[in-house]
Amino acid sequence: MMSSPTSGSDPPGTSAAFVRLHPRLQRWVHEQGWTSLHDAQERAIGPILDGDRDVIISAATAAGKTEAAFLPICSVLAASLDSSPASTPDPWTSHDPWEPPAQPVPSGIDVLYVSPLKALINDQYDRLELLCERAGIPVHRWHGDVSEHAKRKVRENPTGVLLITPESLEASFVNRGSSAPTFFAGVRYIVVDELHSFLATPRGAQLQSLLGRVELAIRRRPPRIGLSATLGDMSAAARFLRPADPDAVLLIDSSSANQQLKLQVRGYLHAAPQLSGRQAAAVEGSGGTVEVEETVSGDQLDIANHLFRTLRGSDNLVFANARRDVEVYADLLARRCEAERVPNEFWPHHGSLAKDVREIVEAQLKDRSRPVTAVCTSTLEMGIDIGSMASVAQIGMPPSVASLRQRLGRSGRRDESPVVRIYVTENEIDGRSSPIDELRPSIVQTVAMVRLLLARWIESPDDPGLNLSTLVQQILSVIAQHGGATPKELHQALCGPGPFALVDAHRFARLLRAMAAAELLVQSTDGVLLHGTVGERIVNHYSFYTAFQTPEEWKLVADGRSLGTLPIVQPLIEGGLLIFGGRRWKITGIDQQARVVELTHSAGGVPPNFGGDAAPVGDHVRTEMVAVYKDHVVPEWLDREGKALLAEGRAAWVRYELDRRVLLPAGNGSVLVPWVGDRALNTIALQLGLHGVEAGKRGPALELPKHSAAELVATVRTILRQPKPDALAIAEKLDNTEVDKWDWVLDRDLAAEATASRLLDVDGAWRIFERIDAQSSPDLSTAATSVPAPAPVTNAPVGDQARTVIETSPISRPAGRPPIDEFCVIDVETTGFSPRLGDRVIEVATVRMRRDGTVVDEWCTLVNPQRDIGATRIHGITAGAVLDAPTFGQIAGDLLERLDGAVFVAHNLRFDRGFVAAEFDRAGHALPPWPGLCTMALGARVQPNVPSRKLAACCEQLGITINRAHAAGDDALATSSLLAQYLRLAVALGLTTLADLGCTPLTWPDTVPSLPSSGLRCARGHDDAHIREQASYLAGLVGQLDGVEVAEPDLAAYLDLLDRALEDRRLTTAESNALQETAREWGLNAAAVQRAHNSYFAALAAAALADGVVTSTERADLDAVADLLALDPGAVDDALRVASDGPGDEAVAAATDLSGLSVCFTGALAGMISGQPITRTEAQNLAAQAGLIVKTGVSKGLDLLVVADPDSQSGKAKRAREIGTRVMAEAVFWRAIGAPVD
Amino acid sequence: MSDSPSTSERIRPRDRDAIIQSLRAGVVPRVGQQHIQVGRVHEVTALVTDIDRIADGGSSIRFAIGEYGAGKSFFLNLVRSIALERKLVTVHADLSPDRRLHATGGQARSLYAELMRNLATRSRPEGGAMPSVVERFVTDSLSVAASRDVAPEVVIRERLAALEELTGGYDFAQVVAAYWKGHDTGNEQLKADAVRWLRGEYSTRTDARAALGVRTIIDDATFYDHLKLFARFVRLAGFEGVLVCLDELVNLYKLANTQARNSNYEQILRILNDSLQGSAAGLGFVLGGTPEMLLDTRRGLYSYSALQSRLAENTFAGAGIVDYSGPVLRLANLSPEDLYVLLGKLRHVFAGGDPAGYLVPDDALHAFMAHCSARVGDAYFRTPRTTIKEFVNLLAALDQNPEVAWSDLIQRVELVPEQNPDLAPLDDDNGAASEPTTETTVPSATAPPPDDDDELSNLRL
Repeated sequence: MMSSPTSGSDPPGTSAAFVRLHPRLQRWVHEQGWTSLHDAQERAIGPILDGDRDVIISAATAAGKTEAAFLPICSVLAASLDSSPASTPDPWTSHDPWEPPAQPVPSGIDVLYVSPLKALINDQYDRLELLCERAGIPVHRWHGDVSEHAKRKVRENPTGVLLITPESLEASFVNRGSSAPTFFAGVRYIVVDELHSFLATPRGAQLQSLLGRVELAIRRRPPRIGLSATLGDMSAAARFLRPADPDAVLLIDSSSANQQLKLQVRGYLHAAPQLSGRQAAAVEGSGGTVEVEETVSGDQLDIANHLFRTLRGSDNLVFANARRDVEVYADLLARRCEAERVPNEFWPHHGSLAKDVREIVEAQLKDRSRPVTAVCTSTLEMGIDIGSMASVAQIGMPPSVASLRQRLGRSGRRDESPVVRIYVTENEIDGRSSPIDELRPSIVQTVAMVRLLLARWIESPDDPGLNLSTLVQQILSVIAQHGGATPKELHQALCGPGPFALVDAHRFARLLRAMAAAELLVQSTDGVLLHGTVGERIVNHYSFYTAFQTPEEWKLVADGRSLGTLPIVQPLIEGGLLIFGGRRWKITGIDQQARVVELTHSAGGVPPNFGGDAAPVGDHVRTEMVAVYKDHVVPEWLDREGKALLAEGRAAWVRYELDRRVLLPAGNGSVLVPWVGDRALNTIALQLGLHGVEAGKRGPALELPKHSAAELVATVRTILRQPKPDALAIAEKLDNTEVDKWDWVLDRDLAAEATASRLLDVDGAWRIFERIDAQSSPDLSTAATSVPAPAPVTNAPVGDQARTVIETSPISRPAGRPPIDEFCVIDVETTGFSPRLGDRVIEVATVRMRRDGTVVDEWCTLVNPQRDIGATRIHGITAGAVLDAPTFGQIAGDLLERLDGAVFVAHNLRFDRGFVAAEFDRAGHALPPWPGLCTMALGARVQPNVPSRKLAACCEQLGITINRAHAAGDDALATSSLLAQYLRLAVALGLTTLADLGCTPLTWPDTVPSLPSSGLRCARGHDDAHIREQASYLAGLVGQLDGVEVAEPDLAAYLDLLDRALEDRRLTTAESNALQETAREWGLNAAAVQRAHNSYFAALAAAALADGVVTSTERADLDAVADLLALDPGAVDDALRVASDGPGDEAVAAATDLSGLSVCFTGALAGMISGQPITRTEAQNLAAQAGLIVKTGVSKGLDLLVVADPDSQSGKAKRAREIGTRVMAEAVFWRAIGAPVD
Repeated sequence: MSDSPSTSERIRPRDRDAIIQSLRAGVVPRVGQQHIQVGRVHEVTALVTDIDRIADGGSSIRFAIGEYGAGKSFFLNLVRSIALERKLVTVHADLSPDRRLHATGGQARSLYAELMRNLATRSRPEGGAMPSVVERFVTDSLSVAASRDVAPEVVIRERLAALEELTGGYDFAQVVAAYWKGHDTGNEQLKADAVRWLRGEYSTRTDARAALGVRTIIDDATFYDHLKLFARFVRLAGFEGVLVCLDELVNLYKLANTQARNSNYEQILRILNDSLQGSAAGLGFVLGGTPEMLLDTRRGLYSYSALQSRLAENTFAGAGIVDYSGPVLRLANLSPEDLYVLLGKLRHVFAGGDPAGYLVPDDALHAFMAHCSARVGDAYFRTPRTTIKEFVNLLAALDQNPEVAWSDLIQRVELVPEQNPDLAPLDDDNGAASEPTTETTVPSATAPPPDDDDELSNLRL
């Protein structure tokens, strides 16, 4: 069991420390075959023998820490046992400063050994028994799983070494407080094992308090000895061990540095499971069987397979960060074994499993004859002696550097190097990915932690805070111990140097009052505090002894055998399935009262949810992450995927310019990446929350789902304008402050104080706010723009048309900037209409054009909007198409390159420029006010009589064809052609300067953001056109809208939006919000909006009536639109009446070209030819002559059904209405084909 | 009592020292209580009646109820000394979390053992009288046997037969027989083992069986049965009966565990029932507790409804009408006059009963009372313990520093609330704080700590 020292040729006999040991212990050392003492032992033996000071021993696992403490301790005890003080000068007992040397130490426990884990106690018990047996010292273990009988024996004859947990120590005070002074009377040493696990935890505060109470009970201070394999900041450990006098603690740091480490960090990409949760439920609901492999994600399967391949056949530990993961992986691995028909070597081990289940696994691990791999949580992280493992695997980011170091210490004892594999999963980047995912924070954090580990850095525990929750427990416990105590006594006993040092008398009084209010305390007439009704009930329950929060647990029982416990964090239902202890179970019964769940074996199963949060990450790890991002070295210990992920993360870092920025656009909101620890992040989130900015922590970042970068900057400035609050002021505004077990007792003020001390880092948060403020001012000095080669100012003719002379002089520009001689036509397709409401660009196209109309550059790319794609039927872009597209942030540089030095032109400039500017803002680069020209507005001036300002209508007017409307590239090209024509017309009208054309502003931007161009492009596929064909016949009607006459350009722009919104005949809430927002943004008042709606509706009614018939489908459509626009109930009739008086028949005829369409007639025709009623045959002949294809039945292929009576109820008419075939009144039809029918 | 604070009675130096030492340590002297007894005539008379009844083979129970420091313990000790004079055997103990009337973890046996350790007879008032009681039983039997000319064993068997009818009586008789056997055969070990058994010091049956051949021991479950057995036994041994004095009943009130508390109250009810019905021959109880312990309906004796109805005080009592016959005996607070007499008696004791040796004049008594009254308010009448302690300390200081004027010292008297010494902070420099004050210091035993937390000292929730 003992490992032999690794080096040294000194026989122990020559060691200065060795000779001081008691002869019987010397003999024991010889029997172990040790050739020398470990360094830690060599250094610790003397001071511990002296017994006059506290000692902390920090050494690697298996470096003999336990012996370092217990060799000298046992020596002291053995010497006392010899009871021969006269024979030799006794060095062991004469150094206790609190006890006169002559006075014999009273009977009672000699050594109090406190350990955080029962399992560790069991293990140390076996180990120490061998050692102490030699010295004739009894060893007892005392924790929740030890029988009452064994405990009673110890109580009756307290002596020797007592191994105990903090909780059992608490219980002994509560239940037998009055016997504590005699029970502990003889304590000479207090040993705290795994010291680091207590630092800065409620449990640690409890332990500190308990140690203080032991000292109070025995009226002296025995030396304390702390043991730990992992201590970053030794002074923090010293402060913990002896708060009153940390400087006097002797620190023995014997971590040998020259240990080789074999390490690999493996990267994985998350892949969705084959079956979603709902699908799996559906399959099971229909009686099918769902295999576990179908419900876990692909990366989990990959990891499990890799574990299986590499770990099988040797002893290993697989650490997962959550018990749920333990269950999943243990199950997957066991199933692999089953599938491969090999014996199962993989077993789960975590704190919720029953004791015997855990012990079987531990025994198997110790048994070297068979290979076993335990999948475990931190339960096996600490000292349980299971020997050295072949390797250690860590699934997910290590919780902390300290934890990682502890875990890797589990492998590679003796002369082997530790072998560690770390499996890290990153999210797939898709349309919804946040920049956080793009930064690959998990892999980077892991790399940072490994780098810190290799640099021998370890976290130092945070400031412990007020520990009010634990103080509540300790107050109740002291009262139970002494059968009551006065407030002053309690304060003196508990609030000295130590965990509650910050609780002064005043605060203590408030706490007592709060406890009284919660009925935890009552006061008797003499001032003594006793338990109140609630307090008594609490103290009498065994759950009182733990200082940390444990959710109520269910006991899991199968066939009468206890499997373990499960905290209730998810509802359990009878018949439900779960995985526990590495096996799959079906729930057959639930006993709510007894908290028992009965199980039977089952094939399927879902892993149970265990509670527990990830450990908070400190500032230093985040700082190191920044170093990792900035560094170019690719660690060799990353696998291929890991390297790729790291490279992606670093690329994202560069792309987002994170060395200068802490604020990024993301989705509809933004993301704050300040690279600080979680306490500062919490504080920032809280402070933002107080100002109405919703912020959620995700990895190293804060997500602000509803607020853009600009809005956040404004908020931050507001915050900074106010005086910096102290932590308390922030915490006071919190509602949910119950974090620790007894926090519910605290009144609002105390709760706030507790929260402030525990969670907040106001200074850290404010430093970040100041950075945000600084970042948001443009960085002028570094704005080295990538300017395309300046083109000479020319007055070249536009094609062979009339000269276009556009004066550029009115544009004022800073020196060195090229004169404007080019236009950049931009068209964007978007998910909606309002960038303010989170709509995004999904496609952007530019056409760079010289004044003469020469197109110099065309560029078009899809853009990943990082959100839902919006109305596919409008823009014809599917969500899948943009998956691989770059984000706007990525192509912002490319766009800027094309825009630079040119006037921003768009049809409805407000719309396109608004979106582009918003996207730049999101990307963190404000687009300065850019000279822009709107072809819609320009058209109104140079070609005033066009009925519609829609791009299609304008183009049609000038004979420009749009290849495919609503594709950015084609729209942009069409717009550029339109611009060329308009420029020509403008010259003709004498509009010769940009100012004349309506270009605003007329100032060139001083500075242009410097953005690298990525060269990324993603073209739209060609197979998506069909989507548009599915648009309804009525959607086509909208396309014909041309009756909208508007003088106000703003209204025209708004109508353009309205048209886009209504194109699909749906007005979603988002669209309606967007319209309102746009109207507000553009300064349209309610009357203007109403006017726009009315004129739009009038045009629509006219279009519906264009064929002379308003079919029921059209009528329904109009009703729907009226409803959408919230028009009066009579609006439809009014509009139709107006429309029927409106445009003449000629206009309709001219606008209707029916040739090539298929037509069918139904019912008796009313038309007359030469005074005779027309026959069906005549009608068909006329139609055929007009170039139509005559059909006799109504099918989907039919274009047109002609009826005499629009309300015909013939079968054909009904069917036509059903399938949406266009129905036309007979009279209109004849006019349309120009037939001589009356 | 006397109107004058001084009496001419001489006091033995041994008694004087014992009284002074006890009072300065804040505990009740075991001897010489009569020298400092003041007031409470009716209460004492009531208890004397009880003692007479016990001596007549009857039984009694009294709850001496008074505030902290009101003199309950003193009163109990006074009663005890009276009982000893009346040839009763007395046992006494303070209840504590570890010594209870009912328990499952050995605390009741621990109480029994404590009681038996403190077993006192008139000849051995300091306690530890168990061997002499048993010895007396044996020698008494021997003389009877000699007079009847039968084997002593026969006489002992006959007399012990009276015990066997009671619960656990058989083994009790066996143990007494074993003592006789040891006595007869000169087996001192056997005698010691028997006494050990009777004192309730065996914690395991196996040990008892190996030593004495009995199958039972005095344990938690048989605590009260053995008290009754013992009462009958002492009468066989020639004593009049047993008076059991249980102080600090408040510790039951303070038990954190509801179930444990109620079990103890149930035991009290059983004792009360037996006593009121007279079924526990020659056994009497005096229990000392605070009003709160009695009256608190949530966790006091009154929380146990059967006890509440039995202990309810006479509704006519109060407002000048007194009733000293009920089980509850309210110890009235000392009046200022009583206290004045008490201080005078203390002065008298300190001077060894010699008025010529008085360290302070009568004026000093008035001044001291006025000072305390000003400092503490009338609370000091209710809790004379600290007042007495400080006064004795004052006398001690004057005794050793004759050059100091008493009027100077009185101004420096500080009355500090009592504190649980286990909860006092450890003094890392030396053990001075926990040591008795050395004689040269001014008469304040524990200097108040430099106090920023008056708020806590006087905190009322």
